[in-house]
Amino acid sequence: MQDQYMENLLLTVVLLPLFSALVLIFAALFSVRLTKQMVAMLGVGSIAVAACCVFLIKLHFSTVAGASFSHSYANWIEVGDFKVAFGLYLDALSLVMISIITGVGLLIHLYSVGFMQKEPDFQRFFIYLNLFISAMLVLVLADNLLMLFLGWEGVGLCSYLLIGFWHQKTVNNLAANKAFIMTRIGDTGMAIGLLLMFVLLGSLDIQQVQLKASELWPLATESGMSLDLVTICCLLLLAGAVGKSGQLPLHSWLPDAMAGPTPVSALIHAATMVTAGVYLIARFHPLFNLSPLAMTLVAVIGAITLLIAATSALMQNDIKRILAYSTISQIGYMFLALGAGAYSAAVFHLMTHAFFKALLFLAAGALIYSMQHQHNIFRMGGLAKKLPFICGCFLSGCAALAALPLMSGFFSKELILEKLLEQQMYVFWAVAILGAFITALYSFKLFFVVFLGPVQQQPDSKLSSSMLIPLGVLLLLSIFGGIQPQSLIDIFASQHLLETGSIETIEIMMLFAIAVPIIGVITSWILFKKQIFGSAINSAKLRQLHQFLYTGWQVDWLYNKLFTQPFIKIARSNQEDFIDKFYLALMRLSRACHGLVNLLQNGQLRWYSASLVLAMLLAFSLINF
Amino acid sequence: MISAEQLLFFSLTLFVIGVFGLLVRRNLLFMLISIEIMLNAVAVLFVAAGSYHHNSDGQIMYLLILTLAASEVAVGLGLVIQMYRRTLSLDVDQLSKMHE
Repeated sequence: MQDQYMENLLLTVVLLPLFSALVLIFAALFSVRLTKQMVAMLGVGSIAVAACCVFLIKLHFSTVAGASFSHSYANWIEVGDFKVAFGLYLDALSLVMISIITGVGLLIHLYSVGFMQKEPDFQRFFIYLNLFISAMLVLVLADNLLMLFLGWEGVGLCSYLLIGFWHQKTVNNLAANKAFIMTRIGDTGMAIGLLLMFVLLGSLDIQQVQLKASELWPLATESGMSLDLVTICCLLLLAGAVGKSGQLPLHSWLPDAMAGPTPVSALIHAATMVTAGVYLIARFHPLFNLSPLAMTLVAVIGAITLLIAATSALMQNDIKRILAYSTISQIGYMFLALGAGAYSAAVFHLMTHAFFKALLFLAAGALIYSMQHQHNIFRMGGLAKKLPFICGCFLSGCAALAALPLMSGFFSKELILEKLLEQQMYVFWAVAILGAFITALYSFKLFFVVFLGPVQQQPDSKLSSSMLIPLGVLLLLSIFGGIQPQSLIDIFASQHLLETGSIETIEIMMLFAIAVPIIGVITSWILFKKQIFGSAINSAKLRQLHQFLYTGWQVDWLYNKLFTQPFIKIARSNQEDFIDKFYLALMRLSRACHGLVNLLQNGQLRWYSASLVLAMLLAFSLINF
Repeated sequence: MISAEQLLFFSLTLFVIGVFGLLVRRNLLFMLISIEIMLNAVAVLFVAAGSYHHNSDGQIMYLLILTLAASEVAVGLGLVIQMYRRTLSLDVDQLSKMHE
């Protein structure tokens, strides 16, 4: 009875957003005109009901440690022994994820109603958003690899569609293409990884795969860092995660993805989709636990990414690009935590990050909305008195981002730092601390420059209540959301951490970690007072450095030189189609032969009879001699 | 008694004359006649071979060829007359329309 109740609720959660998306699509197809109000009711309402269902699931989901629920609704593919089902799997991890997706998703949908009010393509926007939510739910609730991949590609598609939402501008289309192609590189790796796991382990069920993997490949502590099969599987999965989450080699699409509408940036490129990579690794944590090499690589990627992204964020002018780089950097923290084996800390940070980053993006959207689409922070200033509510949102968002004490981000980030210390990963810890300092610096630079200082431009538009309510809720969440779900700790508790050295040194280091963001904020204040931000740089070397960081460590330039241009060159050189040459020659030869034979067919009767006679003579002479 | 070689030579000569006539002449009528000469060369060869083998099959064959030639000429001449009426010419090189 209980099970049936859960089954139905879970299915409702997944299908509701899909249903409303389909209704909107069909309405558009059969040109049924819906008013904006109806579209909003349908789009937001479906997510609201889904969120209610998630709440009910939460109430009914057993609180026993490691509890899980799975049900297979229908068969998808059935060929011989090979079977793929439409199955959903719920445990504490996916529960946290669906809570974030439907909860934050609902707020952002509500916000979009106000934000996109003047947009003629209101309906299309909500179709994409609802489709995205349902794909994301499939991704986190999937109980087999194929379903997971379905959701994975679904969110990629919606991300592409939403980045290029204003497709009248070429720049937006290019950004969408970039995002799609770069994530596709990772996805290819991931698809290979999934197939490899299927071939090696003979199952597509995620739970069975992990069970079989730990049976087949016992923990390789003796062999240390070797490139065995499990490591290859992990690395291929990691490729997918890196692409989706905007980590180091494949991160440069995320800042460009800010071309999309701001609610999209908040929902997809901050709160949910980009954290799918973190979810993936957390979901496959038994597999990653078997491979020390993959774990180290995850931590290394996270550490390098968080530094590169944080320093890039420091130099940006565009408010959305600052937030985009900060998202990359925060996901770097999550990867660092994953690499340290602190999965619950990573997912916890994912949750708090979803709150405060969604808040920051939505507040930035409101800011841009009321500043006539002004993105440059140096064109703003002194807005604290004009827009006190948005100022408050930004203050708490930035404080949470910088991990100031008692904000939500504080608890999760400190947890990550603590776990790093427990794992004796001191180098990574130092990198994380440095990253925390830079994070505090750039987040408060953003805040000071926009809200303090001289007034530059007057805000004009009034914000509607549908935009203010989500901001208020997220404001509360990003201040008080720092409560780690207990169930999360339980499901990842399988791996017990090593007890390490003296507690006192750790305590001192922890205090230091708490102090660092505060120092960062103070530094930022001093720099702001001295009017260093935004002032012209005189020294040529510094200007070069600024340019280098502004372009995100020149990654785009590098990729352009390294991949794009050689590719274009190869394409150019092969423009005439080298293989076609052979077939063209064949064609010419047969055409020449045809011309020769054609000469015989001249229609002259006497010519024909002569050739007849000649042929006869030839035949006779051949027979006789 | 004429020897078989002489008869063979006579037949061959007739045939070659026919072939040359066919190749050299441009007039359709003469080409038809050349074909008749070739047919007759073959007929002579049949009769000669029949008498050489003391067999009457050759003469029967000759009657067959005679009939064939008569009907062929009847059809051929009819066509030639039609052709001449339509084009006022019997030059095959000019009449050639097969190529176009």
